[in-house]
Amino acid sequence: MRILGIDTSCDDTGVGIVDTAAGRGSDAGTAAVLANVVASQAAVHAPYGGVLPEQASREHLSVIDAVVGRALEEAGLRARDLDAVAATYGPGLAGALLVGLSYGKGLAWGLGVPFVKVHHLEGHLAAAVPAGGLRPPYLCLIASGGHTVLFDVPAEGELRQLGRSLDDAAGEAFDKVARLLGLGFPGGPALAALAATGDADAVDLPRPLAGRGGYDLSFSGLKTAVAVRLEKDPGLAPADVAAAFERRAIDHLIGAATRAARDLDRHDLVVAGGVAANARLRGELGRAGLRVHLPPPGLATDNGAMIALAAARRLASGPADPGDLAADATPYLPLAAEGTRPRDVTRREG
Amino acid sequence: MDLPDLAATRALAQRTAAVLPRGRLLVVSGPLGAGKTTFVAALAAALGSHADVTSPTYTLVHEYPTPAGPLVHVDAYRLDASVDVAAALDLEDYLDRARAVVVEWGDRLLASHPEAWHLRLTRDGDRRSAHWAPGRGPA
Repeated sequence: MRILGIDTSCDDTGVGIVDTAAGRGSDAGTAAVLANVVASQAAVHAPYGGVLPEQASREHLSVIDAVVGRALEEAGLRARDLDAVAATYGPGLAGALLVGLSYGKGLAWGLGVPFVKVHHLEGHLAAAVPAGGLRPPYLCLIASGGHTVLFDVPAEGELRQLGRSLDDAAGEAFDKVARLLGLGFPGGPALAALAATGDADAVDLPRPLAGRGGYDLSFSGLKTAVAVRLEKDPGLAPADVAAAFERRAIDHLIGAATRAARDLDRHDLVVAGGVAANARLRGELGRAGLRVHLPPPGLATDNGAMIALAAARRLASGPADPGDLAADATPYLPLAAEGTRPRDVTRREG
Repeated sequence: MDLPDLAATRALAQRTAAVLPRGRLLVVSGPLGAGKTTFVAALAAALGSHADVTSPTYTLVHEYPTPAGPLVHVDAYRLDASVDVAAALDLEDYLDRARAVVVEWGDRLLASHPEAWHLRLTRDGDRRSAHWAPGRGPA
C-alpha cells in the first residue's frame, strides 16, 4: 500500500510517500520510505528570524503542489498509484494546517482513495519506531523546540499521555539559556558543545519539580535560575553554567522517563525531536538500562513521511474512518490523557 | 502589585479575566523569567479553559478553547524587530473571533493598537511584580 503524507503544521512543507508492501506484509513498522521532500521556509523567513504565520500559509499554498510533484517523482509514482492520503490536522498554526489538510483531503477525494487525519506527535512517534517493528508496550519521549511530551504506548494505536512540559519546551529552554550565555538564538547545540568543556558541579542550580514525583516536566524555572545566577555573579564561566544547566535539564527528562519505565514496567523508550540529538541525553539513557530507539536523521524533524508512516500504522489495524474527510484544522490538540486514541478525543469534542 | 507566589499571579489573572473586554489585545511584557507564560496560563484558567498552556516561542500561536471563544496566545520572541507583527500574524482576524489575544514580546504592537491593554511584569532577583501601563488596563 502506497501512502502519501503531508505535514504543514508550522513553517516547513513536508510531503512523503511510504510503501507498506515494500516492508513485510501489512506491518506498518516495516514500511519503506519512497520519498521524503521538505520545502523549508527558513530561506523565505530568514530576514525575520523565524516563521510568520500568515506568510507561512501563503508559502505552503504556493509550494505544496510542486512539493507533492517532487515527492511522486522521487518515488517513481503517479498520483493514481497512491492507495491512501494522510495529513496532519493538529496541533499547529491554523492557516498553515488548513493548507496541507485541505490539499490532502482534496487529493484523496479526487483519487477515490481513503484519507487519514494524523496527530502531529503521532507522526513523530511513527518516524522513530524502527523498521523491524517495535511491539508495544513502550514509552515515547518527544523533546523539541515546540513540544515536550512523555507518553505510553500500551497497545498498538493507543497513546496515553503521562506528562508534558508545564511551561517551556526542552529545546526552547536550551535555546534561551544559550542566548543568556551570549551564544545567539537558537543556540541549543552550541550550548551542548560548550557544556562538554565545563564543570557541572561549579554552579548550583535547582532541580526542576524536585520531590514532586509524577511525569510532568518544567524548564522555565531552571532557565530563570540561570538568569538570576548570571545577574548575581557575571563572572561565572559560561562553560560551567552551560554544563550545570544541561545536567539538570537532561537529568530531568531522564528522571521522568525512567520513573515511568519503572512504574509501568517498560523497557523500551522511543526518543524523537531535536533534543534526541543531545549526546548527554543519549549517554545517560544508555546507562539507565532502557533500550533507546531514535528516528533516522531525515525523519527526526518535521516531515511528511512520518505522517504517511503514522497512517500506515492506522490502516494496518483497520479501514480508514470516512469521517476523517470532515476533519478540521485543530490548532489546539492535546494527546489523550487516558488510554484512548487521539481521534477519539476530537469525536468527543465534535 | 507584588507577585510573591503562584496564588498572587492567579488572583491577578482572576481580576483581569473579570473585566477584560471581548476581543481585546493584551500585551504582556517583561524579561526572560518574569512570569509571562505563567500569567497567561493563569489567565486561561480564569477564563474557563482547561487547556494545557505552554510557551509558544517555537510554535508562535496557541489557541486555548474557552466558553467564550478561544484565548489566543502569541509569542513574537523569534520575530525580528523590524517585522510588522500585526500584519504578519493577521492579528485582526484573531481579534475578531477570539475571547482575547495575549502577546508575549509584542511591545511593538502598542503604538498601532491604542486600545490594547499592557501588563508589565518585572523581576528583581527572585522577586516578581506586575503593573498596568498608564491608561492600558482595568479602569
